Amino acid sequence: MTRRIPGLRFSVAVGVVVALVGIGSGVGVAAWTGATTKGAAITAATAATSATGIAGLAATYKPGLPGVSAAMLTDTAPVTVSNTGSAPLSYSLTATGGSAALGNQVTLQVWKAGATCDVSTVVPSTATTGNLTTPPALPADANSAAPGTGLSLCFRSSVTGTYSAAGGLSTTPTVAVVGTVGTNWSASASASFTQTAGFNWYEIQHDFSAKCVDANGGSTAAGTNLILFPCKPLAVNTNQSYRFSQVGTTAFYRIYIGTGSSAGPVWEAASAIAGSAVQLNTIDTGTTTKSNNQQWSVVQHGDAGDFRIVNKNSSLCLTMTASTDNTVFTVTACGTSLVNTNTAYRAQHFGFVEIPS
Amino acid sequence: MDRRTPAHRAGAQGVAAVRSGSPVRSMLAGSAALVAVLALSLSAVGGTYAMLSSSQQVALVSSTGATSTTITAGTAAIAANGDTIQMTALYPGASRTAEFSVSNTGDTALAVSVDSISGLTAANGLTASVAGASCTAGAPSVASGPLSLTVPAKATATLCLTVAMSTAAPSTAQGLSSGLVVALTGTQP
Repeated sequence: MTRRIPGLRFSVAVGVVVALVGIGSGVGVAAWTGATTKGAAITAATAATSATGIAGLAATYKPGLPGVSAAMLTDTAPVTVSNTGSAPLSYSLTATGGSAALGNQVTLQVWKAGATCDVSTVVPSTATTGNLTTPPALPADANSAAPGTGLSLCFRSSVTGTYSAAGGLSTTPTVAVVGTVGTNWSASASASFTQTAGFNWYEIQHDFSAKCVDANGGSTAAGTNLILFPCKPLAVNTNQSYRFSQVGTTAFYRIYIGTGSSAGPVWEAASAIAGSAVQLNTIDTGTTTKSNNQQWSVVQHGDAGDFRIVNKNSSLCLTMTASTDNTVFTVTACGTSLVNTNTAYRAQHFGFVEIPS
Repeated sequence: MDRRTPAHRAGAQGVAAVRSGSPVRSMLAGSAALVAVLALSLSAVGGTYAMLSSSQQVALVSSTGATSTTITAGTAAIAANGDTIQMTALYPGASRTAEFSVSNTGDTALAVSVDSISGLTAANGLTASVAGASCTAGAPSVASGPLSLTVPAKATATLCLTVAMSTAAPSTAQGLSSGLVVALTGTQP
């Protein structure tokens, strides 16, 4: 039989209670702490930008003809970028959607605009350079803007390389100024514009008769004679409209007719013999005599606005010996007289009337 | 005939009960156990006891000449002052700072720590921390944990809240309004 100690159970119970009280007293530390909160309202900035002037890069380049028409191979446009958001932005340029065929041949320079931004403005050394397909980075002194401020830029595009490669091409890129902050915030402003490498088209008038060089019968077939015919109303793509395509960097040109295409035909002296007819023929781009028979120089001679058209192969001049319609143009030895009443002078001097395009 | 007084008789009976292993002896053993448990319990909470035992004897003499002694327990209380902090135009890679104060309205010095800062999400790209000094002091700033700051009783101290936006903050964070809550605790050092 187990003997129990009287009162032990009571004592243990009291002990447990005391122990719990003791342990519980540890929480008493909480009574000696204080807690509080502080609120903060945070409003994030926004990225926004605008730009004006990008569309000013729309341009139609023209190669011109020395002594006749000035070349127009550059376009200058002021562009203003404004940071309209509330975050500072770092800017760059992008171009999308254009034709690389021309875009790669159009140099694009960008610099911080000074007092002027026009065709006469000298490009500063700080300008950055790219092209219409891959625009340059913005110059270091104009590539970021604080909120409420902006950038004043000057853009200049220029046709580079040989115009014969660019001529006839066009591109319509969308150029954007893109402002970024951080890795995910950006804002952009863009504009599309068209640039075309066009041509100067001319009617060529025989000074004495005041009639025009005309492809006989409106034909473009090889061997079609060029004849004298009354001038038609000015229009591109007629059998009296011509353009001059420089051969490399030489002083000679191939002369295309408006009813043809970029593949020809072109003027050709039938031979190097004086009196040979001048005809239309398919292009020969080799180094043969035929190719040289298709190349001509335009030389100012005599009175202002009077020109002679000289064949490369024969050095003979384009000649019209009559004022009668349908007379065939030939090449003959260039005269020396500077007197406009001289017969040779009358036969070999021409004027150019540019056709609006 | 027992000539002892009733008291003597009772004492004799008590001695007899102890000697014979009676309930009286058991009670004594239980009481001893109780004392031991109590001692252990008090020793276990000795630290807290020390804090709570701070006392002051104050003799108060009333107009009638009566004297009394009152012991009043201390209090610990901390409060952040001022309106909600406003920060605007925060953008990726940027940070803003704002000072605010906390007052120790209790009776004991309190070491301040940051319990938490809520309202920081991937959507707003925000991070935040608090320093236990003015914003120009360059004191260590923590998002959670103790500050190097102890505020004496009845004193006020300046803290600095820094809020920054990650450079990788999402685009959707633009223009977003976020509410942050800084939870602070003051603990008796």
